[in-house]
Amino acid sequence: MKNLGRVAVLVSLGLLSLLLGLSAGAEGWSWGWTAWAADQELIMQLRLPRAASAWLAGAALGLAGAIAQGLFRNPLADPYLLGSAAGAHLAVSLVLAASSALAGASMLGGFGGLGLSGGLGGLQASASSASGWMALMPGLGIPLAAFLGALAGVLCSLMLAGGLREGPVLLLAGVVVGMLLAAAAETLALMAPDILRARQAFLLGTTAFAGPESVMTLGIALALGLVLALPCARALDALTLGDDAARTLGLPLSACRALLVAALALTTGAAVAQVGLVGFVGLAAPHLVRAMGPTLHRGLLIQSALCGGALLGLADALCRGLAAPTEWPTGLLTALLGGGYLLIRLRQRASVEPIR
Amino acid sequence: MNSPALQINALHLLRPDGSGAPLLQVDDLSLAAGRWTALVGPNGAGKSTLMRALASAQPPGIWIDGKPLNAWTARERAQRLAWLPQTGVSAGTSLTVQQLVMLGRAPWTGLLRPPDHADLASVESALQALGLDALANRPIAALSGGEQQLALIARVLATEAPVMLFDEPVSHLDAPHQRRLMNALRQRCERGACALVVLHDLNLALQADAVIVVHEGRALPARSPGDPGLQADLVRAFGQAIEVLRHPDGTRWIATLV
Repeated sequence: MKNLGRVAVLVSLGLLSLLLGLSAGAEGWSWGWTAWAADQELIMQLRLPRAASAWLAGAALGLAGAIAQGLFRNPLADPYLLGSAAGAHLAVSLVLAASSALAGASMLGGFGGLGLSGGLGGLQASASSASGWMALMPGLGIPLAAFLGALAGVLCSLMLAGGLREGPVLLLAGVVVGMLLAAAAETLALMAPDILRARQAFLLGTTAFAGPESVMTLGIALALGLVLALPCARALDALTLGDDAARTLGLPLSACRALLVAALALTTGAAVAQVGLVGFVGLAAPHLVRAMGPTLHRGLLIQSALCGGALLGLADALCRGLAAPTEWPTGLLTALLGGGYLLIRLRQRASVEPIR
Repeated sequence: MNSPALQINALHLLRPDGSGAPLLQVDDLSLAAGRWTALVGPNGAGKSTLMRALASAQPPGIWIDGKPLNAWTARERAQRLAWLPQTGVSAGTSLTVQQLVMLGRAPWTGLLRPPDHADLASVESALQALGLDALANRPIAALSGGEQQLALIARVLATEAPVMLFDEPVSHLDAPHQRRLMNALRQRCERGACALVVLHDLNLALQADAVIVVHEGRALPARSPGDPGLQADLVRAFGQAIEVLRHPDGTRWIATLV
């Protein structure tokens, strides 16, 4: 399929996800303008930010996944590789533990729809609904912690690798940092077991707390990510030749690496901050795009973003509408869908090319 | 007199394992425009390390067009020297053959400029030279190992660099494709380029304008295939009784293990 056709398909799917998301309420899907007119306020203030955030976060993850797979020349790379996920995890655990310690363990009450103030701020509200100092920055604590934690994780990986190194060194550093930070987060959870429930929502990923600020934050992060990454698309193409050959093409590879890691950290951090650790979107989106036919990285980056947006948007709408009024955590569905798809692809490939 | 396209003087290369032990010494090696030179020697002799050193432009002692290699900018260097390393394409690449070969034009287009007519023409001629025109729009990942190798070689040709380095270009290639590669190489040299080619197949190496044998950490002086000294170099380097004979058709030389 040609690039333009693919973009059209992916944009249509994105719009469809938005439509489904806007129509999904506590009673399942409601259709028609009369239903919409009655729910107008609800739609504009609750469902629109949520559906838009889901699409934007998915797009950010799709873009990040395409960058990671190109940069590390590894089709199994995902946006969380460079320690960003574990960094965000630890930071969120710290904030949750701190606020629950301040508020007293008795205040904990799951993560049900208390906070719509922005991003995963709701988690914190549920962890410490009456705490003093946390109330001073409503909705900022958890998203900010997750964002900073993600960036810190990436920085740790970069430091451990001794800078922006080519080859597998940075990847390995990311894996090591990820394990260490995750271990630290688990230790914290052992010491403060009352954060487990609120933390679970973050680990599974959810759009339940996304508000208008989330739309803005994610929009800015996605735009910045595209602005940083797209000029480097040809460098990613060159990297498919291997580091050795790519280096002799006269392209500013080191500068491109820096820009791409920045775009990766920024988009992943923003997505993690607003919707938690949604799995598989970043891994599956570039694969889906590649399955549609060959393309340069310029097209792959844009289309992976569109694809990730459609994936997470649809998953989110389904999670809200299918079993209403109960909601499934979005991350569960993306993991099921994305994992299932990759499994099918793997089986197809195994049957086409036996053993190489 | 024109300076040679590529000139190496007193180049000392260390083992790439970081031990600091010497690997290869090249006292004097020059490639003149219009000629292709084969580089042969046992495994681990440092042929690939020499290629890498030339491509990376790190060590002093290498000149292109009479100017030290590291005095050119990375982009100027890339326009003058194109290198085919032994590594293949990475798994999961989503490029077509044409898009991969177009990467050979990156030294001219840079990061942002879209390919123009000249770039397209260079890619087209590289594809034709290797008989890849029919595969141009196929995804690289769908090709056989030999076809992928041809596409990588076409990428080097598309740069239209005056100096070309090929490390084991015939690996994965069947006999007809090897012939095609040799013809393309010869054609490029007739148009004024020069090439240094690492080869394990001595019979292919003997088709070169000159052969350089690597022996005991030294690149021996270049010899033409008919030079009686070449046989002695080969025997010393490989520790085998090798005979270099004129083929009965009189047009070329062949090597046989005695």
